[in-house]
Amino acid sequence: MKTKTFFLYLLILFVLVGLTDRFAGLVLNTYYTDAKYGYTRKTNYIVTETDEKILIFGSSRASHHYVPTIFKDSLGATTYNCGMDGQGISFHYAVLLRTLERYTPELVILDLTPGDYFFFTNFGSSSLNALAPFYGVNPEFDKVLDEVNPAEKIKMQSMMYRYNSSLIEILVDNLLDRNADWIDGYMPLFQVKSREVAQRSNERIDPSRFRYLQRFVDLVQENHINLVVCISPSRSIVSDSLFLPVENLLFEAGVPLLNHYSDSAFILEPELFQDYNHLNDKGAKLYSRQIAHEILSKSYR
Amino acid sequence: MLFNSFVFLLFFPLVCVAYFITPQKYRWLLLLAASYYFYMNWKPVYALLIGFSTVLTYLCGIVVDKTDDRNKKKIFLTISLIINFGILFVFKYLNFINQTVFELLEALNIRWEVPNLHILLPVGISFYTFQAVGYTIDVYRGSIKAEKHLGIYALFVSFFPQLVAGPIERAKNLLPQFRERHVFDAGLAAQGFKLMLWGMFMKVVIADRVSMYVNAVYNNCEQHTGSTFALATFLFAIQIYCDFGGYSLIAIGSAKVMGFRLMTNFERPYFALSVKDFWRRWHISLSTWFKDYLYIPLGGNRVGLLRNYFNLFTTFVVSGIWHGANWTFLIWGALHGTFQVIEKALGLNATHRGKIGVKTLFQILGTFVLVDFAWIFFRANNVSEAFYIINRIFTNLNAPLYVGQTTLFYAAIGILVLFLKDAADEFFSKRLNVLNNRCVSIRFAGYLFLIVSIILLGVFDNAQFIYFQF
Repeated sequence: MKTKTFFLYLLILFVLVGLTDRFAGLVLNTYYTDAKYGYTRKTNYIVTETDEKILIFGSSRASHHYVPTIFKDSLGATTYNCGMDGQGISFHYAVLLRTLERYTPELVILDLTPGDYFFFTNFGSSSLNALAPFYGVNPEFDKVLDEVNPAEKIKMQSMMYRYNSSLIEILVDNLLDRNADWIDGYMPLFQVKSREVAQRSNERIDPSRFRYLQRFVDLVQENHINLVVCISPSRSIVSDSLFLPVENLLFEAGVPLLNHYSDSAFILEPELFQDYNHLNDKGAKLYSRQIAHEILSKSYR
Repeated sequence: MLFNSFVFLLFFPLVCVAYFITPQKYRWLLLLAASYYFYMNWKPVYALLIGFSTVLTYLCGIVVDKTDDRNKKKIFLTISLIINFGILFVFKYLNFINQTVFELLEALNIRWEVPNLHILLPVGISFYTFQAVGYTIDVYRGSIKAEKHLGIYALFVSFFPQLVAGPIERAKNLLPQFRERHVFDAGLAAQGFKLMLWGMFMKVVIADRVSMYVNAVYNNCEQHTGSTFALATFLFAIQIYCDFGGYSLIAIGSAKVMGFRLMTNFERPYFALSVKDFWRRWHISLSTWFKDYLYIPLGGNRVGLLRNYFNLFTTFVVSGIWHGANWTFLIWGALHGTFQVIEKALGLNATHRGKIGVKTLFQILGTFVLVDFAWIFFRANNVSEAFYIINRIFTNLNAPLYVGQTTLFYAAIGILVLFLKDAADEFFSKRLNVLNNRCVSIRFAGYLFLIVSIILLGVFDNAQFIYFQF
């Protein structure tokens, strides 16, 4: 092969890849935006469409533990559960940034999981790619993704890369309603799969995650939104010191903390849990009533 | 630096351009600097170990080559072997030996604790040590002359494409290439890029995706059923092939772009007709290293039958230990040794295929089952977990299967493409080879498919290559 031909072919390949990237990116974006069901629809809704007065943020422990209809009935305000499986505090922060572009909710309930500020898993770091389809609109929002890895900024220039590993979900979420029981973002669990009690130790604070918690609190307060931080029940044995850093941070910020992590009304009742870390529907309803009652009685709203 | 990292995507073209515009007499210096920079991205201080190993084998090589005194030759060869293997022993095996001795004595009610060394295993230490040691032995045997140029020799030990996970090159093949004047060859570069592209597909689309399922199962043994273990074990065979085979292709391809020819390391190993045939296709640079420097010196097959079986078995046990300081690797090596001895005794060690038929199919399937069974020990976290997994596979196969939702679907797409490519290369004429097809449009469709698959389906969490740990 001649050198000239080689470089010509290389150029043609680059152009073809670039064109395919744009075209496939547009098609995927259309299907992503039009998805009617599942995680694709929920992500799209919480990033670009919510207009409820009360928003609930958090990981799977939020999405499975907070029943919006109960909050709506008790507090008299529309409520949406923005909780997402496997997502950490940086995800919630980014979603809140985009929410504030549209409107200011009255109350934000943040369910904290120790994973939001501890190292114990890689929970919530790589999963940020759920936000990739929304890259390129809000520079502050983009920064959250860029901070994962300096190369991310360059990779995000590819339209296809924004949908990396999402192809099947996007197609399925356009065709099949696999989650008909989801209501206003609440994703109920109905089983009692395990009665185990987990034990946790040797956990260290992850400075970057802790920084995002601080940023989340600051953002809420700058926008004069009422914030209540909750730690929902878990059948785990932990040291009380696990919560000290977050207790100190919230105390200094004047944010109420409702810590039910080791609430005996729940942890002694395995029937209320699907597994050690997640309440089932029965537990979630009981817990939601409890939290709504506390918010009302302590006038946090 | 990882081949599947974004940094390498910048590093490699820069090195290539710099290589071709640098005058020939300074090219070794450029590649040496690039290679050390590449390596020092992990833990800079470990570059000192490569430097030490380089200087030691260089000096021993010079002395061994110069002297006519047989004893002196032997002494310097021994010094080189003892120090190189000594370093390998301290970094890789000392803690394991410590632990084993401690457990043995504890069983005898004697408590004698030697503190473990808290050191990280230097990336690629087994690879460059074997390459450097192989060089000294070759000089001792007189099959090559000692390299006089320290810089070029240092480059031979540390050449970045194959530094951390091979192929383990022979001095006879690689050293002279550093003196050759390479002009940019578009044909070679095209071949090199194709190898890199296919290697990247194997790594990020298949190996890293499959690893999500395999790790979820093998790292949570108590939660899974026999059918799940069977599937995870099958998938691990695919994962390790795509991980290591992918790495080798990127290594060979990147060297090729600059005009260097590295040895082939994998030749569709899962189409092997016997375990013997498997080892002619799997990690070829290591299996030939063991053949040349261990099996043949032990007597190879020019000895009595029993002694030959012993030689075969010993070679594979040592190969097992080379992979890691754990009983699991030793058993893995012993299993391969045993399979080969039995095959040889029964005359089942075919390496050449006749017409494709039912017999061939049975040979391929039978070999795959044996090799995959041995992978259980290779992947399991410890021996008791390996036996637990085997027990579950044989007693709990009808139990429900854990399906990792979309992970398996994405993996299946990659595995199907891999199977079609390998089967086409193995059984059919080269006309079916999409990436080397004579029709430009078909070639471009192939490139585009791989690139789009990598971007859309690849796993980009900078996962390490499995063989780096060895």
